[in-house]
Amino acid sequence: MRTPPHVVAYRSVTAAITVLILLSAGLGLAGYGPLATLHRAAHPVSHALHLDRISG
Amino acid sequence: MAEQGRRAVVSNYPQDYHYTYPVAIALGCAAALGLALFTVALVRALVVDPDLIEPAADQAEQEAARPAGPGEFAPDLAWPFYPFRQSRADLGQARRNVAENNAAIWRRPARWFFHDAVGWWILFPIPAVIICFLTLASLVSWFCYLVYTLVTSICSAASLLLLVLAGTLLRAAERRRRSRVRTEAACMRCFYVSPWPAYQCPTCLHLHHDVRPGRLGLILRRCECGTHLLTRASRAAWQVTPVCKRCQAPMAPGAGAVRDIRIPVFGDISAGKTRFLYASLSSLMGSAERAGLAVTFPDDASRDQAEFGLGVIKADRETAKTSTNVQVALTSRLGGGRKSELVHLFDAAGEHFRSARRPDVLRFLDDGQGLVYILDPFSVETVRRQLGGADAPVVQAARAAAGDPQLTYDEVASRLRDTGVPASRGRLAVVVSKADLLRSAGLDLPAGSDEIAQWLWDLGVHNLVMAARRDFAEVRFFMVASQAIPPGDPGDPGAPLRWLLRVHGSQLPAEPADTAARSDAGRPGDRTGPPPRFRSGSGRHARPVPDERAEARS
Repeated sequence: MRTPPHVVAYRSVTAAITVLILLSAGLGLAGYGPLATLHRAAHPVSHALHLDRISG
Repeated sequence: MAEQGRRAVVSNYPQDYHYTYPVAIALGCAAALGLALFTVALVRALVVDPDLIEPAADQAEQEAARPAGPGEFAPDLAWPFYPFRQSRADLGQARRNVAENNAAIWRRPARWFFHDAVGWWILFPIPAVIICFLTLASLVSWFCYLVYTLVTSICSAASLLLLVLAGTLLRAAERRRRSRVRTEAACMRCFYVSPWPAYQCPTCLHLHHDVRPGRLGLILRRCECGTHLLTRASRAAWQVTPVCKRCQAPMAPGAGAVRDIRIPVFGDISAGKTRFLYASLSSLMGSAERAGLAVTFPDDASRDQAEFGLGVIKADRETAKTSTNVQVALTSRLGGGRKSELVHLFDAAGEHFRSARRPDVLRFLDDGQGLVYILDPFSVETVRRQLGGADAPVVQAARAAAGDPQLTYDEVASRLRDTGVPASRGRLAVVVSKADLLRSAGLDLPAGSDEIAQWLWDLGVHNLVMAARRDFAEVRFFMVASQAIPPGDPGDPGAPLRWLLRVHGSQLPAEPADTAARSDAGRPGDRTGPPPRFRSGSGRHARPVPDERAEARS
């Protein structure tokens, strides 16, 4: 019997959310999570501020 | 160079690369294997080989969990919402697949290391490394499954909450509409009355007995065959064929969605029931025409019957005796579309009412919302005496009912009591028929309900008057001539029908004469109608009627 569209839609949504969560977790463990990315992006700025502070 | 305050993960010593990177790569491979195990399991569970809960399986489960009681039906064959059943099936299938995949990758290593070839442990630490690798892969796959379970459970719980809430609101709205409009579905074949009928899928012809919003759909439901059907009787009744739940006879379009009024007519043999039925219908059509309401007949049998009966009335021909083998059920539709009303008139041969306790033949009496009792005045001995005896020409022409009018009434009232029908909440129109013949014989006939009741009382039919007022919530008395009389004229046979229709919320407007009669008859809803003593007047109306409540008590 053919799978009804609403079942396909529900399955797609739950599978997609699961994939997103696993992807986020995997990237986070690999060092590409949002916090690590933010940290890397902010690093030049903080480093410059640090240099400004120690240079007086 | 490591920054100050931060500890380097990998130092500058080259031997660190020899340990750290291989371990990291092995861990990554194990995690990837775990992810692959889960992905394969999920794809198999959702796409390749899913455990699809079909409507028949769901129905069997529901039936097993809560077997249908007497008069109930098994759940309908339609696809349930995903969170109600299919989500559990998918989780179960995914769990089985993950377990199978893990068992597959562990099968050979387990045999090698723990059963057949334990000699592998000589090559320690290779077995330990492989076991750690597989353990990590398994843990990752089960972790992924855990995430999927959480996602599915949370989504299902949220959906269930919304669906149950919306379903409850929609059901409440539909229940309120049913109560306000007084929608019901009456079968004209078996006379079974249900709050709503079954609706037949136009594709697979399966019956859907309960189309209320619920686990099978809020706005739409998907039949087993894939056809979309509207939920709620107020909408489904116009989309698919309504069918009687008991005998599966097709019903009029809109059954279960529009106001449904059933009026049985009863009385003794030759009392004039059938003639009254057609004459009142003729008057009703006249009233409806004045009000701009269309009167149609939803089925061929009713249409043919009405055409024949109206022809008899208009041509002033004699009405044939109703056969004892048939029960006449005439359905008409007042108005059009979703605001229309279905009016059912029932008639049966008078012989049946002499033994009215038979359960099958007079089933329509039990669900009538208003009853019409036809009283033949020529069956009253006093009237016959006043007209010159049984051999008088007018009495002969009237072909009077032979039985005592009280007996027929008592039979029907007993039947209603025995079958548990709350007649005390019903309304009864007592119709004195053949008024034209009485007038032609020179009798002075009363007009208002109270006056007619008093007239009957004076004629010796006081037991019937008293019993009717005791048994029913409201009783009105009418004097009609079953002829083609314009609505509102004296003797109008449509007056009893209009009264009963209007008290049940019909859109049919009252004729001015009806309004006048109502103001005479006292407050509607009174258990005994007018005050216990009828107003005194001259002539035959002079005698006051004793308090029937007091008599009933005594």
